[in-house]
Amino acid sequence: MTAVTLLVFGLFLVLVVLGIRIAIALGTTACLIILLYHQGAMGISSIFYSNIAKFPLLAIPFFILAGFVMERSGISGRLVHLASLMVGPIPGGLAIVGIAVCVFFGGISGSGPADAAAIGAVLIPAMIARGYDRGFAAGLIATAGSTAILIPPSIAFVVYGVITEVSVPALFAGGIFPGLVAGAALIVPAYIISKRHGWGGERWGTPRELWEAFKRAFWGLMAPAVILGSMYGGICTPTEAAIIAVVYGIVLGWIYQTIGWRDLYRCMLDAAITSAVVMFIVAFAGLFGWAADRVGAIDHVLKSMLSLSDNGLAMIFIINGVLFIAGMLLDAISIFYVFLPIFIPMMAHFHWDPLWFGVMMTYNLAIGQATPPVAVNLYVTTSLADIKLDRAAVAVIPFVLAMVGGLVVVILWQWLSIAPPVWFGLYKPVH
Amino acid sequence: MGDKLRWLGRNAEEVVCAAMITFMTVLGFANVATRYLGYSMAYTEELLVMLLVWLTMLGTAAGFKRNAHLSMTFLQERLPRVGQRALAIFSAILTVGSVVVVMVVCAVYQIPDEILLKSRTLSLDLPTVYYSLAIPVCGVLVILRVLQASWREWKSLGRAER
Repeated sequence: MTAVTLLVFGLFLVLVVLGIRIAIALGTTACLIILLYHQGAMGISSIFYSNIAKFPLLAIPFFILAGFVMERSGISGRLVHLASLMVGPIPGGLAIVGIAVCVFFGGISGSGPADAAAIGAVLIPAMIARGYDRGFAAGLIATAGSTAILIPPSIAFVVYGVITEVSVPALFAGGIFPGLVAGAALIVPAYIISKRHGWGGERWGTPRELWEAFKRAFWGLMAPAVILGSMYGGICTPTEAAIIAVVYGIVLGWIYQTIGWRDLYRCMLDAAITSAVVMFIVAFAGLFGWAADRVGAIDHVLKSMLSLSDNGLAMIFIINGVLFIAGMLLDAISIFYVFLPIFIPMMAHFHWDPLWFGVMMTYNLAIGQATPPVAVNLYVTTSLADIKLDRAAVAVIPFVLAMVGGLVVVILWQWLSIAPPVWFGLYKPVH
Repeated sequence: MGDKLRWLGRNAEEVVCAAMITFMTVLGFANVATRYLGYSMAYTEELLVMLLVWLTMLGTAAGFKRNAHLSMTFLQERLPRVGQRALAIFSAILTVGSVVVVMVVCAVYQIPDEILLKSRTLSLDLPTVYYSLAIPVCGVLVILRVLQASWREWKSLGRAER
């Protein structure tokens, strides 16, 4: 049994390190295991197919599309302008504006890179012009943008919900406080570093300017209310809320005259390809999980992990360590499919709440979006800041540490994740 | 005219993908909107799932062309040119290999089974083959785009050496 376990996880890891595309590394390992161990090769295509042919997963292309449309609509610039008038002359003013707007935009966008791109495109050039360090700006927006997968809506929660059958609207609600905790944690290094380097703030807006900025940003400010309101008002499913977000964004782009036909085509095309790339991972990652389970590799890893400790809290910290390292090498979606088959029985064993576990895991994977070598958010912000990944990798460290601090809070204070879904009547804790 | 056709040949997946996701948005929005008017279009959900399968496979092909699929290039970038070329071939073999396995299994087992059993979808009563055909049909396109992209990579790695 050990040999096959080593083959499953070892081969996958070697392929990823060699630079094989993650989806292909998963697919190759899965196909090889199934063929070598005669696990019913006839089923390969139907498992591949059934992983993607799921109604809840339709939320993924629509939330990705909503992100692209909202980015083009120009609301991020309006939000940044309003926030900078409100934050005023505090040291690191623009940095704090960046965090606040990224967290807010997380309420519109369900993907970290989309959030980082929308806000970074406006804010990173502005920060560089005001004398902020390029690496600092890239690291800040990369980590702040990752809160998008904690603040509802969130593509990560859709996938976690599909795998574990925890309600997606409940997960969305569970992510609100942890997302705010992450944002608050990021302000600490942003303030300290800016103060030390003397990166000054802006000025307060006069009441008149504030009112003008508020009016300009009004429809953008309403977007999270429209998206989340339609879902929690019982009007529609998360997938349909995503569709409403797309239509709302197109209408905004039409009102602001920022989205022409050509822009709309680009949005549609980019969204289609980005979602296909995600769904391709889903298909092969699901096949990998199935194959690993069939040959007993999942069971073997599970037993070895359980033998490490009987202490639930110690185990949670071990799991988070593993996820942190995995987050440096893989994307969030692959990690859900590879690791959840192991974690689901552990949740039952240790009586962990599955909603809290999902929020905690997603928080950890949000950090992974900004930890290189594989760091989808940092790829976006380094290209916006026009610097090498190596430089951003160093600059991002204080922000990653701050996020880890917030993660410890989310681990120890489960109420943060569980209370809002219970208030909204979306969730009953299992234990 | 010839230029336009050639552009379409290079961008066929892109145009179809964009059209598909546009149609999906319209269909999905119509479903939400009409529900308020007391009119149910619940069957559209099945159609949307079918389009999602096709969109995934077509978009995957386009994704290979744009090099949009995620990978960890940290080690690769630090290898000598020969190693990079070897890895490019290795990567192409694994990609084509795993897609071929899924395609062939689908074409040889799954689709004939579905035809034999006359299996149909629940609410639209369409043959399920309409869904599963996406895998072998678009699989051919995926392989074509992988080979094109690998050939381009191979050439650019060779050029940089001189």
